Amino acid sequence: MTNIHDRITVQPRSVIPFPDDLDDEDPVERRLVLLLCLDTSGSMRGRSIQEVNDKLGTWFAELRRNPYYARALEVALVTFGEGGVCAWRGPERVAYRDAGPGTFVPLSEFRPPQLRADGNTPMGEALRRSIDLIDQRKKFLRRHAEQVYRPLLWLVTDGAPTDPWEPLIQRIADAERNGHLQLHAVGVGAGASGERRRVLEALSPARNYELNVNIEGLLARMTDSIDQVRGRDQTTNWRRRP
Amino acid sequence: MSVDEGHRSCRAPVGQVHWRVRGAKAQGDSHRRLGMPCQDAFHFAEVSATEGSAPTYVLAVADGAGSRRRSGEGADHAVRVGTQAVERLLAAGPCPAGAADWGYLAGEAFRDAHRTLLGLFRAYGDPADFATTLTLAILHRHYVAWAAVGDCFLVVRAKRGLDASFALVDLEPKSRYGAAADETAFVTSDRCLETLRNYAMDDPRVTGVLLSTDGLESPFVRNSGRDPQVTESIVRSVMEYFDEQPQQPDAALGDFLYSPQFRQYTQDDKTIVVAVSDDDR
Repeated sequence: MTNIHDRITVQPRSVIPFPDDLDDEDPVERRLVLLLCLDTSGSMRGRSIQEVNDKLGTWFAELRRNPYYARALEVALVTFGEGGVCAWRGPERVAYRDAGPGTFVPLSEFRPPQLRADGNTPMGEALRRSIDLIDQRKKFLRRHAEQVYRPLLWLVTDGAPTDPWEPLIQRIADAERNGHLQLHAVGVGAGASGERRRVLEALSPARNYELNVNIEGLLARMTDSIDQVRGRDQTTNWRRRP
Repeated sequence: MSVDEGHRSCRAPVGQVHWRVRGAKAQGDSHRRLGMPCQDAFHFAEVSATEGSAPTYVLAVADGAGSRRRSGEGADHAVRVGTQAVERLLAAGPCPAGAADWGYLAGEAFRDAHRTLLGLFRAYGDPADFATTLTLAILHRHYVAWAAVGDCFLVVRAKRGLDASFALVDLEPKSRYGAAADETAFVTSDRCLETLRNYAMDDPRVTGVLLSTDGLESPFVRNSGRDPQVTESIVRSVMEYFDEQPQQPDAALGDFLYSPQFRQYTQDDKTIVVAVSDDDR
């Protein structure tokens, strides 16, 4: 084998032009749906909730710089803890009866709320509500002839649930199997209890994480998941030769 | 900025197709933030089927699984073992005579590489820790053959300039909402060889080949309905750059991958190997 690594002719470097019209070739044909289900229970009080508020804003601002995501990504937020289970339409808290497909906001318009921490951890109810909202949004988009990538649901908690959650295991498994959503279940904070780990593993056997890292690490993983669901959730038919 | 750069070109005898090959990889922003190394790898080499025969070029890219501890090492091994497998098969038998034979050779080389890699990884520990995709492409005269497991993709260009056309010839099958939508196959997977895709094309109009890991799928492949298509403008830009500036080194490709525009599209590791022919087709 002739290894041709040795024969490099170095010339002054110029730049490969990046086409200006790339976005024109990549119209938004499918929506990306992201729902963050965040723990705002009392144990998040103080520095933890402040860090979530600070870093979420930065993260969304960074995502908005991606022209594709700014157009295609839709975001909603559900919190559990302070105020019970709450849906958020951007910075506005949405009354339970009003939360529906319209809770999702295009990334270009989404501004995260300032969250506060208090109360217990009704994770089961929050997840049930999150899955309902995703289902409603998907149906809404389908009715409007929009195609949708597999919706992403990110659950982030620093504790174990204080309400029933076991009935959700089967529902989530069915939804994952049928491609209706992809759940990432994340435990954060040093207080990792065996119970929390057991819950997250049961809810999302393939994608549960204990992240004792800073919130940037978590947000980077979330960005990865968006990249991946967009890159991989595609169609089966393509031209192949010969 | 660190760019892992590739390589070189050499002059083939008159009358034979000469390919100039460039490659580079770039660490994704998300990997950088997480303190993870770039887990992609690429390699390419010129080999000869037999003494005096037309040169054969082997291009390889691999994408280590982000969740696996030693997948970057797995990818490094995969591209080199894959390239060596092609060389071994070419040395052992007659030069393939047609597209079907080239496609068969590509598949056999992949199987050979798969066996070698599993043995190698087992010697080091659990093969699953080294999980990686692998795509091999072989260029010989007007033949382009490939063998792939996982989600790298392959694009070819026919003709040049205003007459150029581009085709996405290999992309991992993906279901729209199916259970396998977020599962890719790896060289280390139990069902690796069941998902092997090996094909070849015989087309004297081919003047360019681009092989890449899935980190570049977002800007390079458009999902137009059920028929994913190449984003022509960007592939054209890369290939025409090396058509017009044949002496430019791989570093130009590395700069391209690290450009802010790319970083807007993907935060994943990115790897690309580009080959353009020198003849005037």
